[in-house]
Amino acid sequence: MDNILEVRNLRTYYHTRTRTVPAVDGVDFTLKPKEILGLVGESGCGKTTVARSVVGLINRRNTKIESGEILFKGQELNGMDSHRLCGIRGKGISMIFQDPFVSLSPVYTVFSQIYEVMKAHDPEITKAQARGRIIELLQNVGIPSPELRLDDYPFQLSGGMQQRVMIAIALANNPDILIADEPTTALDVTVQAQVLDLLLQLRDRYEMAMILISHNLAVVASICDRVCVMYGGVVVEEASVYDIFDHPMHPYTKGLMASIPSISGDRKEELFSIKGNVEVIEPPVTCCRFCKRCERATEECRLSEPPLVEVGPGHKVRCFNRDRED
Amino acid sequence: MTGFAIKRILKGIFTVWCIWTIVFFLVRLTGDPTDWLVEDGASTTYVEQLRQQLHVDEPLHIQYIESLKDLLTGNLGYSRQYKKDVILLYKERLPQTLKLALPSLLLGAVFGVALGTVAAIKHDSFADKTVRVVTVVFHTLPNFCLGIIMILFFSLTLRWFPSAGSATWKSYIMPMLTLASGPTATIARLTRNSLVNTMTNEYIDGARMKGVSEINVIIRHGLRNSLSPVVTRIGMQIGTIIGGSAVVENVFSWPGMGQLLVTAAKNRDFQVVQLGVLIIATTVTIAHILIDLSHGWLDPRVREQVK
Repeated sequence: MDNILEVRNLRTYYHTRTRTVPAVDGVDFTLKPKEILGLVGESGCGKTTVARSVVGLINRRNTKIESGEILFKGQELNGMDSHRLCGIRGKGISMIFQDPFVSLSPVYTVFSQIYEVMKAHDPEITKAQARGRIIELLQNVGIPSPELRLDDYPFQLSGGMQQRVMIAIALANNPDILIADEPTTALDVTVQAQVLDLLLQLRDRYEMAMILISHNLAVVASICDRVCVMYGGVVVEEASVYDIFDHPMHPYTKGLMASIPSISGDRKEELFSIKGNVEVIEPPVTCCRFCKRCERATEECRLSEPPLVEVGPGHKVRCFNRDRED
Repeated sequence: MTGFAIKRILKGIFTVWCIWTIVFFLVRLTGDPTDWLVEDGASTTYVEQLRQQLHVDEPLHIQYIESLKDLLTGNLGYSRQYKKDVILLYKERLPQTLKLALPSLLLGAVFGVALGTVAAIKHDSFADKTVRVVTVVFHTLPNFCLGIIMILFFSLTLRWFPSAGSATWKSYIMPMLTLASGPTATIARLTRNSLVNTMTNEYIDGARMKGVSEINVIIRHGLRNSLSPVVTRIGMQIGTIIGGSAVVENVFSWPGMGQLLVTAAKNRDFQVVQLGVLIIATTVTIAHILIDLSHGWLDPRVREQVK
């Protein structure tokens, strides 16, 4: 099998009383075993919604997956019955969240939180059997003297330790895919680097694929193999991490790169920013989603939406006026 | 934790003493008890004699100190009206009230939590809206009103249940439902709101991502983390139910403590009122101490703070 996860034409819309917001509006991507894919974009671009749609963690009262295929090892996850989906969550696909402090149930100990995910997929397992494995897991995620931490509650741990516990929960059943939704955003900068290193190590040890969601290009650059840049609910550029950083082609990607402040730059120079804000465009979309903020926008961009075209091996761009000089 | 418990118990004793003191003076404000014990036209010497016997001829502060001494030595007094030791009177009446109050509390807690949970899960659906409207009605409807409506409907019209007494199991139904209605409504509303709130936490999605079934996510994570306010409210309903039983026992002529207390207050049977209030105050205070302790037991963060 080639791809462990294939997402095709995913559309997830939020419905409010007055309007429909296309949070994700036609996203395609694939994930190979052991690959780390980055989903990048600013707040509201739909990256988290993509991840949550994949595992069915969407609020069904106002959010709906309008269309799309989500194939995990060939099984369709979209519309799968909840019982089978539960069998995949935490075993086939795991997820870690942005803020570990609010992602761990406050009233259960570290031991029982990890034991819960083991028990969910192996009802026979006893606490005594799980203990050894849990200690090993905590060691693997870099928690010092794990035996002493088993009976701690989340609030007794630092943010970095909490995130390590979250990662231990996610890894407990050797998942095929780990989805990390902004896993370092809520952490101190020094701890961020440690956690990213840890994720890289664990990818090799557990041989799993990863989807890393981030708005932070530095984070993406440091660990991803391939990157999808999202804007307004669609992928605007997809390429290997080298291509994205060396030859960005979409004006939005270029803008993101230019927004990284340079450490050697002139201090009097004003920092670059992409003008304007993310704008909600209600479907059906008949223009490039980025055209109002784009310096290169032409009449064509305002009249029809550019398709995602392959411009090089594994490099796809959604722009009529992409860089052609290289 | 033990230090906290001891502090809490000492405060509780102080509270009970305050209430007892207030009631001591309050009942004596209502007038002379001998008015009700002698017939019209009795001689003044006889009345004086009786007042001496009842120790109501002495100055208030002396009476208070004497009563306090009696209380501490376990001498709880004698009821003129019932011609019995007060303590014996309550030994008969208290179990009758408990037979009504405890099942009502249980009913309120179980149905309240169940209804609240259903409403929270089906949040904003028809079921939720129904629960919300019905609970407002029962929350605001006074016990005596509901009791009388029930008697009119179930006793007089349908003739399903007896309107008074405690003879058969059928006599329990209406007073119990009346007593439980308020607490059920309050607990249901609180459980709903608390659970709806808890379910928005990210750790709920965290639990779902473990592959835990939705029902277990709701019970183990949703309800478990909503429990502190709910347990507090259930504990506080003990006071509401005991207070309510004074009314409900009168409506349904239930031979319990509430009815005794109301009659005693009307007849200036001081000792009976004082002991009744003492029992109620102690029960409610103990309930509140248990609520405080339960927070430490339910929430590890509180335990850490108390340390």
